[in-house]
Amino acid sequence: MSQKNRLAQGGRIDRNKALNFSFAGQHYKGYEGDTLASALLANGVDVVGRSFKYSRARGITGHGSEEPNGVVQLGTGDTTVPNVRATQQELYSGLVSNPVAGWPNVNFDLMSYLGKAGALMPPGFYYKTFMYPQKLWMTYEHFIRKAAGLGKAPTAPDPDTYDKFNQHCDVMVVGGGPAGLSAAYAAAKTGARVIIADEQSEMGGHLLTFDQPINGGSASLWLAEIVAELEAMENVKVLPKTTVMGYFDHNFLVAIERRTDHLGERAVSGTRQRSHRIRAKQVILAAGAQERPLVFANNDVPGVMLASSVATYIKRYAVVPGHDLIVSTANDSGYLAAIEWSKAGRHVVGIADSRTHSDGALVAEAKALGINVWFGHAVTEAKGGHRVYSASVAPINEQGDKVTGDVKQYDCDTVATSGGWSPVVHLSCHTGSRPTWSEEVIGFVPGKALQAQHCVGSILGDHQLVDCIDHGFDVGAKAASAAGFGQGEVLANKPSVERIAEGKAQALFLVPHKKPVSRAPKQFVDLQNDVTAAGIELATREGFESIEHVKRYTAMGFGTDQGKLGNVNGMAIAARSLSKSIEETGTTIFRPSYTPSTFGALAGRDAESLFDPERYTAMHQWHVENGALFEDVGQWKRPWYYPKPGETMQESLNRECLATRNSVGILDASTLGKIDIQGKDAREFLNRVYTNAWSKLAVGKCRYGLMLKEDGMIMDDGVTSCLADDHFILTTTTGGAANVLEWLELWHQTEWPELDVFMTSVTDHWSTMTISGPNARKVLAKVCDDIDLDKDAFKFMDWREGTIAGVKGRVFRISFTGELSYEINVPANDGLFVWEAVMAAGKEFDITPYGTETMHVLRAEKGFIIVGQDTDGSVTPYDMDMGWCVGKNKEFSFIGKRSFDRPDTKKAARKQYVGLKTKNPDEVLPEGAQAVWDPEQAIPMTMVGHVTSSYYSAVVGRSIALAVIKEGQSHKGDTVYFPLADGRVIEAEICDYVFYDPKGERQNV
Amino acid sequence: MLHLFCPYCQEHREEDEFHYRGQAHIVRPKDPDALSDKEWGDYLFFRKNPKGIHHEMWYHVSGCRRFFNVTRNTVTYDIYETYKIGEMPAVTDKEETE
Amino acid sequence: MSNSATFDFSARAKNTQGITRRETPLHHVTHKNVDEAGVRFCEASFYAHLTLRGNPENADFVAGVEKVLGTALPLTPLTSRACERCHVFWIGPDEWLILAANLSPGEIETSLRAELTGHFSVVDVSGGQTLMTLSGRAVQQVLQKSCGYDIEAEFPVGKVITTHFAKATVVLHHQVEGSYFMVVRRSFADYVWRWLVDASDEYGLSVSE
Ligand SMILES: [Zn+2]
Repeated sequence: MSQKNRLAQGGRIDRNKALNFSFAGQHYKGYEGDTLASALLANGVDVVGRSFKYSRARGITGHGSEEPNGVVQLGTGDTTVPNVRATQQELYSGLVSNPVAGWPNVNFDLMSYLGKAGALMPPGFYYKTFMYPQKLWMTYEHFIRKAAGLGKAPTAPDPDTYDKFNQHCDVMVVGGGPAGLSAAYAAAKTGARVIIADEQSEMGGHLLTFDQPINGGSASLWLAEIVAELEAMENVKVLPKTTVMGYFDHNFLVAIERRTDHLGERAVSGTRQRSHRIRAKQVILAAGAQERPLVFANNDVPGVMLASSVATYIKRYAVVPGHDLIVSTANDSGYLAAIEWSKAGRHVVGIADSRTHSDGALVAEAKALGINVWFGHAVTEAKGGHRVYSASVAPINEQGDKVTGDVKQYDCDTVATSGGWSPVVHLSCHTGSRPTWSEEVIGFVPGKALQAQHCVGSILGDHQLVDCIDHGFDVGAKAASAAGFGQGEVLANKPSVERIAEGKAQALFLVPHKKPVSRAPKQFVDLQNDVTAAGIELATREGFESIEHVKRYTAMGFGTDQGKLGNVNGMAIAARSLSKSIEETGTTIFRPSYTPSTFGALAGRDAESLFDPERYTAMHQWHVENGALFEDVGQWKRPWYYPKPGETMQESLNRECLATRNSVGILDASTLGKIDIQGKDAREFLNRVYTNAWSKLAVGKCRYGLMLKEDGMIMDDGVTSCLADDHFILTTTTGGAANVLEWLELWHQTEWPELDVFMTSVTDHWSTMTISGPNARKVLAKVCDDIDLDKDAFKFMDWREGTIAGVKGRVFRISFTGELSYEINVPANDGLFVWEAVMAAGKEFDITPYGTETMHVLRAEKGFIIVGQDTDGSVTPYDMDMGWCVGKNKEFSFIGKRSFDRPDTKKAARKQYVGLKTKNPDEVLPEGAQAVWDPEQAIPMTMVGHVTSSYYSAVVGRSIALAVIKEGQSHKGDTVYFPLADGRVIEAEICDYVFYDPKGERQNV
Repeated sequence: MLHLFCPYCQEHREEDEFHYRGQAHIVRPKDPDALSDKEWGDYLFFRKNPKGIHHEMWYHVSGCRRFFNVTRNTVTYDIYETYKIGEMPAVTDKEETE
Repeated sequence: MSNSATFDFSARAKNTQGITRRETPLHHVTHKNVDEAGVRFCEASFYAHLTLRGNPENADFVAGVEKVLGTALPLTPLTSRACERCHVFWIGPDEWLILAANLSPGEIETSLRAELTGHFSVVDVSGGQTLMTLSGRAVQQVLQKSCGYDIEAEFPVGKVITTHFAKATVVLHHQVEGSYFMVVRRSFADYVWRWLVDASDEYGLSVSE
């Protein structure tokens, strides 16, 4: 098929660059400079989709982000994008597109033959479905999704790159029409940093369609000059193809730039989309206005279009989307479609103008071209299925609510309508500002500015080019001045533009039909969601009086177009039906995103391996080379276990555990948080933040401490060592390191600034390796000759300074396994070297590296808690049987102490820390399993606790578990039951939480 | 995303450099053990949830590591002032001062 | 007040030369020289890094530090000082970072402890962080991709900020026009490096020793 609707001349397209593309499997040609929509119209494609609910044929209606029907599935395979507006997608060679709606295809629709689908989904369908049994929703959802054509998400990862760019500017201008360009120019001239963004492929806005003389010359010439000048200025960033999708707190805006979407399905190189995160001192909204369609019977038939879109397709793309045009308008601007149509050499049947008269310049021009103008008339109904073939034109009264005479039929294939212009208030809504109704503008205008924000141009209802440019210059200078640039003085050389004579527009939202709304053919308000005037009236009759409720009841504005076309008409119809003014009923609020945004643009490079920092210890490479599997602990990658070839996980754990118990194991413990604390009040500070006493801890000694929140619940634990009388090193859990430092700083800075302490994180400075097991001392002796390792000279809970493998460091004799253990700390630059030296020294003892899983098993065998696993922020030291760790006689009432006396904390019936032995010794309880005393009781059962840790212990020779059970300490020997989701019930005996070496002798050897 | 002025760094920074730390000006009782359970419970659990002016604490965690106070409007997110720990706000809700 | 015993790592380095082996956080990175690269990267290995804490209103403390370091302590927020011996960065109202290429951390710590009195703290963090230098014609774009801070207008030569670089916290310093110091915690170094490689891809990246 040739481009039958393409004009031989004109337009901003390059006829030398023909592009092949396909839609719904058919192949077409277009030109560079086309959008997919303009190319489809050039080729005479009428039907581009099927409607959501009634499955009616739909064609292209608009030419920008407002388009409700021309929504396609773009591309194929991994790069396919659902819900792309054909009106915004630039054509590229080889573009493949398909309708998202329409099942099985757009021209033959199964549902419309199966019966009146609409009867299945009356207005309020969603509302009612959600209110009734949830089970039914599952049934409906399947049906709706299949029928609704919401597009397909790609099934494989997107191969393209998206990134983010942080921008800062003095003045951010949203919208590159005449007002925005003028504002940006005036602001830039003061030296202010300016960013101007426009969602279209080129700057210019309405000037791309309407070529009114500027400075006596062509508007496009002025446009080219001002854009070139802005682009050349160092303090200005001009961002076309960039949609400001959200306007957030404190003048923070997110704009998504489509960098390669116009080149092909896949970016050959570089970033496909870039999200600009803009912090602006001042914001100028020059987002323009959106033409409103008129609502009349069968106004959804392909061939019914916005008047400004018809003009745009002719002027910008040299496409006349039909042969015989009727215009229905309530203002002067609708005439432009007829004028351009006529100039393109095609037939204008006539202009039905709902007003009684107009002296506007466009009206005069249309008349001069010999076009029929019918004042006091409107198109009341279109006829056609896949394309309009005729329109009913009727006289209507001055109020626009009654047909007053005979209806005439006119043959035509296109109906262009204009009901007026709705300011694009979306971004100002994002800041929380509620739009206000303006009778003068006949539309909602931005409400009170809540941020450093200015508006200019048709967003305020100023449609005259002269006002847009004039005010643009003023507002640009004013905003720059507010940002600290210039005095806001008006530039002398403002362009001169003539004011055009304009007739007063009429407020017409619903064109009357000779039948009442409920009986007339469907009058569509929201084309994407198939919301009709009758549906809105039904909603109000059913008692929904708030506009927000009407919206939810009818789903008006719920689509991917966010009701850009239909909302104002819908609200006006609701207001009339409620006998209220539009001002009284108000409007719903728009929220980000202005147009749909890709997940890629939102994620940027924060994806896959860069999604979150992966923190490594100095020995990481060794772990990798020695076959470790890793576990995420916070952002750290910790060795989980080191499987040997052919081993199951349990076999690896058994081997690692037994090697440690019987000879020696080694653990990379570098991830433990370490905080250096110095100052004369360090001891006092520790006394206040830990449960136990620190006044007497001597230099060279270590002590385990519990940290509570003020509510008395365990928050963190670790070993603190005394380096000098005024110098300590405190360790924290791996996951708690940052929180603990913040916690300590909080207390120091806000409550006890008089205490002389300074805290510094040294987590990353020290590499920590724990050697544990009966042969640990022998291994250490081989790499360290300046510390007396004799068991009486270097006792359990001592620390010493010394040289390990030639590196100065600290050795702490502390144990988390219950075995003889030394924790070696060396500066991290030496960490890998020392680790390798220790491994070499341990070779004769078959030193075995073990990971976090074995560490968990070994400590569980000893009943040592892991904060965050066995505790969950709701247990006290007493619940965990750790009263021994509480210094009740300390002078200062340490953090959390007072809460021990709260009635809830001291009540008897609290959950207590216990051990569990399953009846079947090989059965390992799932962690998190809930305990009940009586498994035969009716559901819901009374739960009395849960499993916190559970493993198979090789050294004990059976499964072991730790749990918190209500009054568990007094139930030792009793049986509890764990009913599982799969129906099994596991029986276990409550026992002591120490399963191995109950006297704790092994760590003291 | 908020833009907060750190009174120690003396300039505005993006919100992601900060941690929110809740209501400001809560003083730990000097002698907790002398408090009744109700008094202690009030200190522990009860916080203001105003619609409007709120004095709250923030921590410049990815910055100077200092806690400071912010007077913020919980409806508009306007920030009226930021001030150091130990200082009192200049902007207060009328009811609060009465 | 804090005068506890500390280590002299330089002594270890001297005594055991050739026996021990040290690795920087980015020892695994391959160097490559790309002439047209828009971004130039270097890990400045084995600098001495020390965190100094003290009261800036204590004149003795301020004078003592200056005597040891050979440069005054930067007391204005977000400023830095440098001399032949070292760089000193303002980190917080009572916190500074000292960086030195040719001095051992032990030497600096020992001298400071010998000189200073009253409440202060000095902590060797040399193993816990690393210094990266970034330059090249596209370095600002890479920083704009990575930092929310206004690098373009609010970051003159000499300024130092602690901020986010992607999701890591870093200390960033505009050292000389178009050339930046970035101090990164050891465990985050590989993440920051991989981010940099990715962000520099469109401009070309040169990595020198
Ligand atoms: Zn700060």
